[in-house]
Amino acid sequence: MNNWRYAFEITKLELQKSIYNILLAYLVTGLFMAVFITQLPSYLEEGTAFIDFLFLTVFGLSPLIPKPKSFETQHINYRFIASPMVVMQQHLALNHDTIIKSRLIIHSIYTFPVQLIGLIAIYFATPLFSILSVGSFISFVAMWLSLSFLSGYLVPRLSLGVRGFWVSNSGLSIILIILCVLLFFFIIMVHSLSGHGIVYWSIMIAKELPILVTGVSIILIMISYILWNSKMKKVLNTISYS
Amino acid sequence: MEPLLYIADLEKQVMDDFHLGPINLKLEPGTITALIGNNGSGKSTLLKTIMNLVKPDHGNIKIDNMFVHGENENWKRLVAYQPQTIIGWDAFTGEMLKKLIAPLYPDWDEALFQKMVELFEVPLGKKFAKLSQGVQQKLNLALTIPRNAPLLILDEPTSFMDIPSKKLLIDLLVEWMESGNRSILIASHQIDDIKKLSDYLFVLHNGKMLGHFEKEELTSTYARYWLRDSLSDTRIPGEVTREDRMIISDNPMETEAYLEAKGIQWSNRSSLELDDIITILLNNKKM
Repeated sequence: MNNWRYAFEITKLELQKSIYNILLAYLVTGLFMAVFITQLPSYLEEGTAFIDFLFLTVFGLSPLIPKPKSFETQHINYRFIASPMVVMQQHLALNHDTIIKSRLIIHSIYTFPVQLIGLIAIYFATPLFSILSVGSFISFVAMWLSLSFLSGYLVPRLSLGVRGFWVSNSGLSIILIILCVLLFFFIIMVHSLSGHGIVYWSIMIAKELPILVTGVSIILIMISYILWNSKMKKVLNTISYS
Repeated sequence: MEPLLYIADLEKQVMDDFHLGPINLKLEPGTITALIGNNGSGKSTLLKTIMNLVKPDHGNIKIDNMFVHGENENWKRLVAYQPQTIIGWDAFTGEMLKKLIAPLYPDWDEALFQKMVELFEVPLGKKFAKLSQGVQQKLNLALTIPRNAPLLILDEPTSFMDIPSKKLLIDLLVEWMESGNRSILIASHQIDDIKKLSDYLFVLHNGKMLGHFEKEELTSTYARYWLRDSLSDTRIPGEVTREDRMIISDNPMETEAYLEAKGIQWSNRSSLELDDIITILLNNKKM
């Protein structure tokens, strides 16, 4: 618990300096949510791949949210990326657990509140309200937030430092292109095989199996926290900041 | 006395072309050790390894008997590290940085911080990125020394500083050491820093440890002789280098015994300056 308190203390200044970027992240996510709200009725009837892509982007690709230049994960050395804040923290009397928790706090503040509020807004402002009961809606929220946790923790993980070809400009471009192609391919496959999109099926699963979905989502959140945490500890124990 | 810093058989391969070590070093409390070496000799890498920023391939580092690369991270409060390159401070002002750093160190000396800020004329309200390199270095020091950690590690602390500030810093460090139970490990190319501050010299050359010397002992080890007559090509015991009728010896007793035995007279004998000795050590060749 003490480490959470320390982690919060050391992130306060970073948060203070990141306020405009956090607001920007909220604004962009809010705009995406506004698109969902206006498009969801037609999406539920016709099913457009674009909405699936936007939804997956908001909840799965939060690593793309820009941070202030001084804090963003960037090239520190030849084929080595890390957040300058982490390098700074490593020079101070902070244990690894506190550093990891500080990165989790920063990431969560960028994503969690606006995603939760956005989902609630979608529920009350669209036909979702008549499709899902409150319990089913909670399972729907848990499902998408679990995806956000699972993929989003890549952000704090990368901020601790990565070395090698894949973090060179060419390497990162290749990864980004492959990710986009896979994402499009996955969305198109689901649409062509089932006649509906990913968001549609997530609504249906949440409606039919709310307890199972909630349980699985919570387990996924816990697993992703444990796995990413352990991965990040391993990184801090092995990586060299030279 | 238990060493504050203990390094045994430390080795690290950096990229494909640089190997640091093996390094063995013990720092006692109450001493200042200058870490000296040619450019690229591995001084900063060694300091980063001590701080667990670089992981060694082999060997151990202990601070106050705690393994630096182990699970227990309590040693971090016992070290104040001033890196050569400062990363992550750009967005903050000096005042903000102090708010971040001071609470992490239980013995933070606020009075010393204020004194340093005043002496070095550091504007605390200005963003770090907007300060000149010299002022950045001063602020970095003002945020490092007052941590009052038993081990102070400084990596090229005066490289961008003006001459009066260098003098101020040396005075501050001497005063800071007066409590007795502290140690400083300072990497520097500045001969004045080394001469005025250090008790010991730890010398690295291309990653290899050349030695850990007591400064006074080292200066008394070397002597320069001007001989009355020309010399034969025979190597004289202790001879490190020669030039015409002048020779430098790292073993004056042996040299003088030989010269007396051979009836060779010298017109003058003098000690060597520390920078000459360091040059001899680093060049590892005859001057």
